[in-house]
Amino acid sequence: MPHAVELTHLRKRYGKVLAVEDLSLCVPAGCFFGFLGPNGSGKSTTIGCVTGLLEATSGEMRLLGERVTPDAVALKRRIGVMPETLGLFDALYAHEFLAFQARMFGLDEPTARQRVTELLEAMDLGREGRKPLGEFSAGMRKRVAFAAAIVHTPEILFLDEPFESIDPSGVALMKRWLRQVTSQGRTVFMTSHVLETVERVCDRVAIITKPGRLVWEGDITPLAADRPILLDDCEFTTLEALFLHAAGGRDPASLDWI
Amino acid sequence: MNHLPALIGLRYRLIWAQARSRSGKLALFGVGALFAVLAAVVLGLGGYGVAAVAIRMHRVEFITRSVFGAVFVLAIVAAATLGLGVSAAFSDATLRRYPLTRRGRFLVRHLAGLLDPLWILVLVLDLGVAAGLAALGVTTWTLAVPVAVLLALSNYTAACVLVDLMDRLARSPTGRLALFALGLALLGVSPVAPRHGPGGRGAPGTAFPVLWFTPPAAAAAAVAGTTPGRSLVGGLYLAGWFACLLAVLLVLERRPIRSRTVPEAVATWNDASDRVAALFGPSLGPLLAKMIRYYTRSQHVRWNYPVTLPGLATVTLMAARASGRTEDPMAVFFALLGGIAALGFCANGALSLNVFGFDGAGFRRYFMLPAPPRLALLAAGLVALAPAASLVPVVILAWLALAPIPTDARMLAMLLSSALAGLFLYQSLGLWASVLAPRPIPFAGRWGNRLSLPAGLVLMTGVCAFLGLPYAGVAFGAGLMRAWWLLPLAALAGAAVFALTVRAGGAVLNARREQMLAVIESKA
Repeated sequence: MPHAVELTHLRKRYGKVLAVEDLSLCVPAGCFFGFLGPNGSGKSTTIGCVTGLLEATSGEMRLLGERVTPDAVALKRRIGVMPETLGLFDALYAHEFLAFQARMFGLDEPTARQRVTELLEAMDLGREGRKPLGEFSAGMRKRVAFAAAIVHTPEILFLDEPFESIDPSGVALMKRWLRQVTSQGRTVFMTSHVLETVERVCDRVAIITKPGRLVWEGDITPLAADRPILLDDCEFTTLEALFLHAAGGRDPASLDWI
Repeated sequence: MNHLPALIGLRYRLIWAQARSRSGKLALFGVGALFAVLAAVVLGLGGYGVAAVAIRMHRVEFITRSVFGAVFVLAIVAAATLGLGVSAAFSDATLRRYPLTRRGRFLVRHLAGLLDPLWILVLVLDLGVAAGLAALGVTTWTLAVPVAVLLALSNYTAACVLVDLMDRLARSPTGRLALFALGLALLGVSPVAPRHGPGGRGAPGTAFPVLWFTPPAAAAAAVAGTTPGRSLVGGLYLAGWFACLLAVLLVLERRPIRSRTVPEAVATWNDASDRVAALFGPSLGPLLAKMIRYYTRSQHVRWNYPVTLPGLATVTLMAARASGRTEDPMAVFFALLGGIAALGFCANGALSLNVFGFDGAGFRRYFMLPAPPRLALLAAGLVALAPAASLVPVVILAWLALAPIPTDARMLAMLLSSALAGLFLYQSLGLWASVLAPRPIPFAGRWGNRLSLPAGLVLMTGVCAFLGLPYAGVAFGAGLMRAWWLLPLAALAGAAVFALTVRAGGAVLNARREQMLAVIESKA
C-alpha cells in the first residue's frame, strides 16, 4: 500500500528566499499526522506545494502513490484542503460556496445539496442563510472552510491550523469527525500551534525549523499512554517539551518593564 | 491631539508603501509630476492669470466663481471616484484601538484626511486664485487667505457628506433608484444647461440662480464682490455653508450605516445563476455561477449597469448636436455607431478590470480545484461579456423604435458589429489587466478607485472612448457608410482577440499564480 504523502528532497524558493530546504517525509495512509514548526518555518509552503498550489523548486512529491504536479486534476479530486488563509469567496453565501466546492469536486446536484445542508446544520451555520461570507466571524469562516475541505469525502485532508479561533464545541465536533476519517483508513495532515490538541489527536508528528528543515519525526502515541519519548538521550513526556527541544526554543528575554 | 503627527506620519508611510510596487512608483511619478506642474501653474501663473484675465474682462466675480466651482466639483468627483482623502484616511474603527475620545477620533481622522495630497492640492489651487486677486488689488490678503482656507475646508466636508450619503443610498434598491434618477438629472442637465443661461454657451453656472448660493460662488463673492456688502454676504454664506456641512457630517457619523443582512432568511438552491451556468457543463458551470453571483452582487456593476443606457443616449445626442448638423438625422446614427462601441466598457466598471483582485483569499481556490485554472479565466471572460451584451439588443431595438430615419440591414449590421468589436476588445483588455496587474480590493467597497496603474489606464481609455467615440462616429461616419464592411471585420477581429486572450491569458494565469497570490493576498 503506497504512502498517503511522500516527499523526497522537497525544496521551495521564493526568489532569493529559501522557504523549504531538502524536506523528505513519509506519511502512512490512515494516519493522523501533525506537521509542526515555528512561525515562518515553511509549513504552509509545504502544504501549498504538496497540494499543487505552488510549484516546488526541486524534489519529488507523491500523494497516494501518484506524482504531484500543478496540473494533476484527477489527484486534486482525491484530496481536501483547508488553507491557512481559508480561501473563501466573500461575496457568496455559505451554502453557495459549499455547493460550488461540492460541484467542482464532482458531486451531483442532489448529493451536493444534501451534504451542504447537513454540514451547515452540524456546524451551526444553518441559520446564516443570506449573509455573505465576508460578514462571518473568524470562527464561522473557519468552520465554512473546514466544511469545504471535507464535503467531497477526500482521501487525504490537509488542514492548516484548523482549530485556531474555533469555539470548544466546534473543536470537539471537528476532532470527532477527523477521528472518523482516519478510522476509515483516510489520512489527515494537519499543522497546528496548539500542541496539547496535537498530542491528543495525532498518531505521528514531524517537526521542522526554518527554512523547512526536518528536525524530528516519529510516533507520539506513547505520550498518550504516559510513556516518554527519547531524543538526544533526553526523555520527554509532553509534546511541548519535545517540540521546544527539537525546534530550539528561544531563551526568554528579560523585559523588566513588562 | 498628541497622536496626530504620528498618525499622519503613518498615513503617509502607508501611501508610500502602496507606491513601492513597480506600477505604484510609476503612478507616484505621474502624480508627483502632475502635482508639481499644477502647483507651479496655479501659484505662478494661475492666480495672477485668472485675476488678470478677470480684471481685463471686467468679470472678476464670474471668472473667480467659475474657477472655484470647477476646483470644488472636480475635488468631490476625485474624492468619490479615486478614494482620495475621504475614504482612504483612517476609519473610526481603526482609531478605536488608540486612547482617543470620540471627539479626538473625529478630529484626528478628518485632519489626517485633510492633509492627504488631494486636499493639499485643492487648498493650493484655491489659495493661488485668492492670492492672485489679492496681489492685483481686487481684495485684501486678510480676506483672501481665510476665504480660500474656508472654501477648501467646505470642499472637504462636502465631499465627506456626499460620499457618506451616496454610500447609504446605494445600500437599498430605492436609494439606488434615487441615485440613478439624480445621475440622469445631472446627465440631462449638463448638455442642456449652457443654452438656458442668460450668458448663453459661454456662461455656465449662470444657468440656475441656485448655483449662485453654493460655497464656491459665496467664496467668489467674498473675495471679488463689487461692494463691501456683497463681500460680507458672500463670507457669511461661506461660513454658514461650512457650519451646516460640518453639522450634517457630525450627525451622519453618529448614525452608523446598518447592515442589511437578513440572517434568518432561508437559503435558496438552484437559482437563476445555477440554471444558466449548468448549461456549460460540470467543470465550467460552477465557476460561471460563482462569477455571475459576483457580477450581480457587485456595487460597481449595480451602479454602472443602469446608468449605461441613459449615459449612451446623452453622449450620442450631445455629439450629434455638437456636430452642428442637427438637421441631418444621419448624424445621430453616426454618433450612436461610435457610442455603442463603448457599451462594453460602461456596464461593468472596475469589476472586469480586476476580476481576481475582488476574490481576495478566494483566489487561491482556483488552483486547488480539480480543474485547470484557465477555466476560471474563461468563466470570468464569458460573464464579463454578459452585462454589456444584454444591452446591445435594447439599444438596437430603441434605435429601431425611435430612429428619425429608415434603418436598413446594413445599418443594423454596422451597429451590431460596432458594439461587438468594442465589447470584445474592451473585455480582452480587462482580462489582461486582471491577470497582469491585479490589486486586492474589498468586494463590498463602493467608492474609490484602487485599481492598479495598468487597470486604471484601461479604465481611463474606456472613459475617453465613451466620451469621444460618438464624436469620432460623427466625424468619420459618412466614410464608414461607404466601407461598412470594415465594422463586421472589426467585430470578427475583436472576437479573435478575445479568444486568444482567454487561451493565452489562461497560460499566463497559471504561470503567474505565485506572483498573483502574493499580490492579491497582500503579501507583496
